[in-house]
Amino acid sequence: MDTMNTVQLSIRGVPVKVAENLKARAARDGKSLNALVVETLCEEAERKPTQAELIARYAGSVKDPEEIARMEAELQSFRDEWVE
Amino acid sequence: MILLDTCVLLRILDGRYIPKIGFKVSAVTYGEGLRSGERAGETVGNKTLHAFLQGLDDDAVIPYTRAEAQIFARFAANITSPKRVADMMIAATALSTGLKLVTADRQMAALQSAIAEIPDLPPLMIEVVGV
Repeated sequence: MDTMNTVQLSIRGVPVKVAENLKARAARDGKSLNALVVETLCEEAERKPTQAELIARYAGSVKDPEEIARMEAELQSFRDEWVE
Repeated sequence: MILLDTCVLLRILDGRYIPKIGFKVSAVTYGEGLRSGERAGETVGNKTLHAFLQGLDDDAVIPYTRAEAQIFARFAANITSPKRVADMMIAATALSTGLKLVTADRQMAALQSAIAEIPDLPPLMIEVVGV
């Protein structure tokens, strides 16, 4: 890891049980707790959302019907341009 | 699993359509969606569509390959009335994968009829929503 491009974060409010599980997993994997947490955070940050998460995040999120109408018209216009 | 037409993505964004099962999109749809943002600028709708598309897993975007092109050629060669090329490329993707195409475009029904007349091609399965 490029340590020049990292920041320090302090995490408060971690449940005791979670901390214990993370420490146990780090010990089992031969890693420091810090390395395990950074690795886990990186994986989560880079993970693509599931389709259910995508739908939950974006479905119904564009509230302006005129904007959707404009986008539909633009798409339709683009497709119609192909008609001979 | 279903294949979503580009116009259906806009219905997802405004909540008129919510897929109940897993879905995929053609690379054609993916490109059309990204094009919208490139062309029309950073409106809320375009940024949201862009983010939605970028969030899709690689497996959810079906590439347009030789297989799809060969199917396209089979039916496009027999269609004499003007048809939009993007529609036919997406239809070819649906036929190639065996996925039902969910669309809001009534013209897909006409394309479905035209494809049905081509020997040895499977039927184009479509569901027209939110028209």
